[in-house]
Amino acid sequence: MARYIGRRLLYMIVTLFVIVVLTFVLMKILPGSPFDTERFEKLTPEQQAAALERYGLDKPIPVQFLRYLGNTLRGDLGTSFYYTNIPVTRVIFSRLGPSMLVGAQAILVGLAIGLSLGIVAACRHNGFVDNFTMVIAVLGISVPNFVVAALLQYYVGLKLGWLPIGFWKTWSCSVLPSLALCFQPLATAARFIRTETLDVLQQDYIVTARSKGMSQARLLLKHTLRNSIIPVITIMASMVVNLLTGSLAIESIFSIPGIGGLFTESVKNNDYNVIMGLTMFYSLFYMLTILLADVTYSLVDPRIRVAGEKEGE
Amino acid sequence: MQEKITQDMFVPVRSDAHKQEYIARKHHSAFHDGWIRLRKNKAAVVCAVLIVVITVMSIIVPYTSPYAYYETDYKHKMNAPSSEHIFGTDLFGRDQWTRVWYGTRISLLIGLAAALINLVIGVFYGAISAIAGGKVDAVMQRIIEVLVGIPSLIIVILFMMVLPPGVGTIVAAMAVTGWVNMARLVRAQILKLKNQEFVLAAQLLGTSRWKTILRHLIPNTISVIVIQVMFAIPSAIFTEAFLSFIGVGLAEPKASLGVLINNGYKALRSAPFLLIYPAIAIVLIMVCFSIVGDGLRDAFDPRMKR
Amino acid sequence: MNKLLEVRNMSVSIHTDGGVIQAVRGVSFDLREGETLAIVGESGSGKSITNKAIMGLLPVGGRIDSGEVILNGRDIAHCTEKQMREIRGAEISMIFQDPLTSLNPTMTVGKQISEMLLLHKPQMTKEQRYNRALELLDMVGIPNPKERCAQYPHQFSGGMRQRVMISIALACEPRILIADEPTTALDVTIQAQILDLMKALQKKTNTSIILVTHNLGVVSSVADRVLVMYGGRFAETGELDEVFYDMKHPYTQGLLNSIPNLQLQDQALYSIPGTPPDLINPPHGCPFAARCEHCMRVCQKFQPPEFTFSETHKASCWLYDERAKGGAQNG
Repeated sequence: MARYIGRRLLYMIVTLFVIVVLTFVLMKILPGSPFDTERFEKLTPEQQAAALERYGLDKPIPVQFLRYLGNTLRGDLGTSFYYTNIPVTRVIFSRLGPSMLVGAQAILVGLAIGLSLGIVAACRHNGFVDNFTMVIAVLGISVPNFVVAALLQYYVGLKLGWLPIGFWKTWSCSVLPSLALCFQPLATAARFIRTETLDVLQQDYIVTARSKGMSQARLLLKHTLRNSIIPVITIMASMVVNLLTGSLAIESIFSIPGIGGLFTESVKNNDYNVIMGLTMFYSLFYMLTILLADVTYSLVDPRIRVAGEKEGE
Repeated sequence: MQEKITQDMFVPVRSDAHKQEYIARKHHSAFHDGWIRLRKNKAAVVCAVLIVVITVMSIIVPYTSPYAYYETDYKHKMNAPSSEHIFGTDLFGRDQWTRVWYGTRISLLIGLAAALINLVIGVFYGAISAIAGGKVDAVMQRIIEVLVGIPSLIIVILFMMVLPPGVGTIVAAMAVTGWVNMARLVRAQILKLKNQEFVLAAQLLGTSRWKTILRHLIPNTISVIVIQVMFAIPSAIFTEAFLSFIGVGLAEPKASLGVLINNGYKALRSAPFLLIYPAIAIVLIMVCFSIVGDGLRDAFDPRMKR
Repeated sequence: MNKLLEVRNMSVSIHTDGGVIQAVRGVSFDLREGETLAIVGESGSGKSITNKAIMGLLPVGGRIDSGEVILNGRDIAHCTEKQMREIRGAEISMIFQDPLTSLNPTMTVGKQISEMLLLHKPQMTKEQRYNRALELLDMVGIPNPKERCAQYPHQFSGGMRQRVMISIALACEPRILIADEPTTALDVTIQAQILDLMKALQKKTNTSIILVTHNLGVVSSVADRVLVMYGGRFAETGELDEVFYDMKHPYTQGLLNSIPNLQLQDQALYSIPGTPPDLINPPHGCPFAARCEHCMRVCQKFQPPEFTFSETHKASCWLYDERAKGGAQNG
C-alpha cells in the first residue's frame, strides 16, 4: 500500500511539472503584459520597465522559468501583479472559503438526493420513481449548470425575491449557487447508484441472501446497498472536479468571492502568477482527490487489494 | 386435440438428422441483436431522429432565412418573438431565429470535430499501445498516467487565452487532453479481446497478424468507440458553451449556442427570451445525444446484456 | 419412510422479453426423510427452476402457474412471502453452483453464518451465535475457524467457499437441503471431498437432500432415487439402481451411454444428437421425440403417459404402450 501511494505521488510530481512547464510557456505566449491593463494606465514606460525588472520579467525566459520553479519548490508562488505585492498563496487562500462552502453544500445535497432517488429507482425497476429518476438524471447531465444558475438567479432571486443574489454576506447567499451546482452531482449519483444496485440485485449472493429467509429491508441494507454504495467513492473524484470547474461560471454569475471567480478575473487581467498558482492548486487538488478516492476505495472494499499492480479491473 | 391415437401411429419414423440440429429460436449476429435492441428503445430512436432533424435544420435555416446571422438592425433591437422574428431579435437587432440555428450549426460542428479528433488520436494511441505491448505500452501508459492528472478544463481555458479565438482554436484546445479517455478505453478493449479465445483461434488457424487486427479486433472495438464518441460530442458542445459563457470562446459576430447563452444572460432582465431559446436548443441537443449514447451502450455493450 | 415434501403437478412459467418460457410443465414427486433425491438433466431442462419454485425464489418474471408444494401438510406454493421467509433457511436451505459468486463479498464469513441464526433463532445471544458459527465451520472441515470467521470470501478457495455455503445452509438444521449443482464449479478432487462431506453430514443430521446435477457420476455416488428431467417434464423416475441398470426411457439410455467408459479406450464418445427443445414453444408430443431414435408418429403428437414398472420405477414413453408391439428395446 505504501509503495502504491508512493508511486502515485511520484506520478503526481511529474504531472505537476508538466503542468508548470505548460502554463509557464502559455503565459509567455500570452498577448499583453501584466502592466498594460487599465489599472496601470498611468504608469510611464520607464515605470513599466522598472516594474518588469522588479518582477524579473526582463530576464531571459529560461532564467525566469528556473527561478519560478525554484521558488515554487520552496512554496513561494510569487506575488499577484493585480493585487500588488500580495503573495499568490494568500490571495488564493483568502478566496477558498466561499468556494468550499458552496461546493460542499452542492455535493452533500446532490449526493443525498441522488443516492436516495437512484436506490429507490433500482428497487422499483421500471416503475414511476425509476422513470422519474432517469429523466432527472438525463436532464441533470444535459442542462449546463450556468444555464440553471442564470434561470435560478432571474426567477427565484429576482422575480420571486425569495433569496438574495448579487452579493455575498450571509449563508442565505450560498443557497442558490449551491442549488445550481448540485444538479450535476445529483444526476451522476442517481444514475451511478441505480446501475450499480440493479447489477448487485442480479448477483448470485443476493439469491443466497434471499434463500436465508430475510426481510426485504435487511436484504436491501445489509446485502445490496453495502455492495452497491462502495463504488460511489470512485465517482466522487470526478464530481469534485466538476464542481471546481462548474464554480468558474457560477461564482461570476452570483458574484461569489471564491477561487472560481478569481481564476476568471486573473485570466482577464493577465495576472500570471495567480493563474499559474491556481492552475497548480486545481491540479494538486484534483490529483489528491483521485488518490484519496482510490485509496479509500481499496480500504473499504475487501475485495480490492492495492498491491502496487493493477488489479480487479 | 383433433386427432385420435390410432394403431398406425405406433410405427417408428425415420429420424431426420437435419431436424434434430434445428434450433427453434432464430440466431442473430451480435450486431443484429444490438440493432434489434436499439430499435426497441423508443426514446433512443426518437432522439436519433431529432438529432438528424436538428442537424438538417441547422444547415438549411441560415441559408433560407431572410436575415443573415450577422445582419444588424438597430431599429428593431430586442424585439419580442413575433411572426417576423420567430425568436425575436437581440441587442443589435439581429434575427434570433437565424442566430440560434446558426449557433446550433457551429456547436454541432465543434462537437463533431472535437469528438473526431479525440477519436483519431485516441484510437491510434490506444491501439498502438495495446498491440505493441511490452516497453512501448509501458512508456505510453506512463505518459497517459501523467496526463490524466491534468484538470482539462483549466488547460483548455489557458489555451483559449493564448490562441486567437475561433472554431479551430476551441477544437484544438479540447483535443489537448480530450483523447486520453478514448485511448484508455480502446487499449483496454483491445487487451481484453486479444486474450479472448476467438482471436487465438483465428491465429491458430493461420490468420496473419494484420488480418486478425482488421477482421477481429477492429469490428469488436468499434461499438466501444462509437459509444464513446456519442458521449464525447455533447461533452465538447458543453465545454464550448462554457468557454463562450465565461468569455474565452468564440468572438462576435460569430455565434455558437454558448455565445448566444452568454448574450442572453447579459440581457436576461429585459429580454429573457434571448436566453431561453438557445438554452432550450443546447439542452435538447445534449439530451438527445446522451439518450442515444445510453441506448447504443445498452444495445451493443455486451457487459450490459442481461 | 415419511414424505417430507410433496410436489403435485407443478407448472412454472417465466415471462421474458422473448416470450413465455414454460420451464416446468406439470411435475410431481415427493421427498422422503433422510434420502438423497437427484434431479438429472441437461441445462435448460427445468431442474433448477423446479427447485427455485419450491424455495419461492423464481427469477423476475417467473411464477408457479399451477400445482402444489406441500411441506408439513401446508401448501407453500401459495403462502405469503412472510410465511415463506420463515421456511427458507429454517426448514429448507439451499446451496448453489458457484461458491465464488454466491457469498456476499463485503461481509465476513462469520457474519454470513451467524446471520442465518440471527434470522431464525432470535433467542440466541451474540456470543452463542459466534460459538455456533465456529462449531459449524469446524463441522464442515475448515481449520482455524476463529481466524477464518473474520475473513472475507475472497480469502477462501473455491472448495472452502462451498464448505462455508454448506455451513450456512445447515446452521439452523433444516430438514431439507437443496443443492443446485453444488460441485459443478469445483475441481474434480474437491468435488469428491464436498460430496463426502455432504454424505457425512446427512448421516449425522438426517437431512433430506435434493441434488440437482447433470453429472451422472455425482448421482451414482450419492443419490438414493433419481428423477430424469427433460423439456420441463420427468422422463423417468426411480431408485438409483432401477434408473442406472434398468433404464426405460431412450433419453436416460442416451444420457448413460454418453458417460465416457475408461475400459473401452478406442470407443468414440457417444452423444445424443440434436439439441433440447425450445420451451417457449414446447412440442405437443414427447419433448424428446425430435432426438429419439425410436421415435414414432404418436410421439410427435401426443404427450406420453407415465408407465409404471415397479412401485418406484416409472417412465413416460410411448414405447411401453401395448400398441407399440415389441418396440421396447433396452439399450
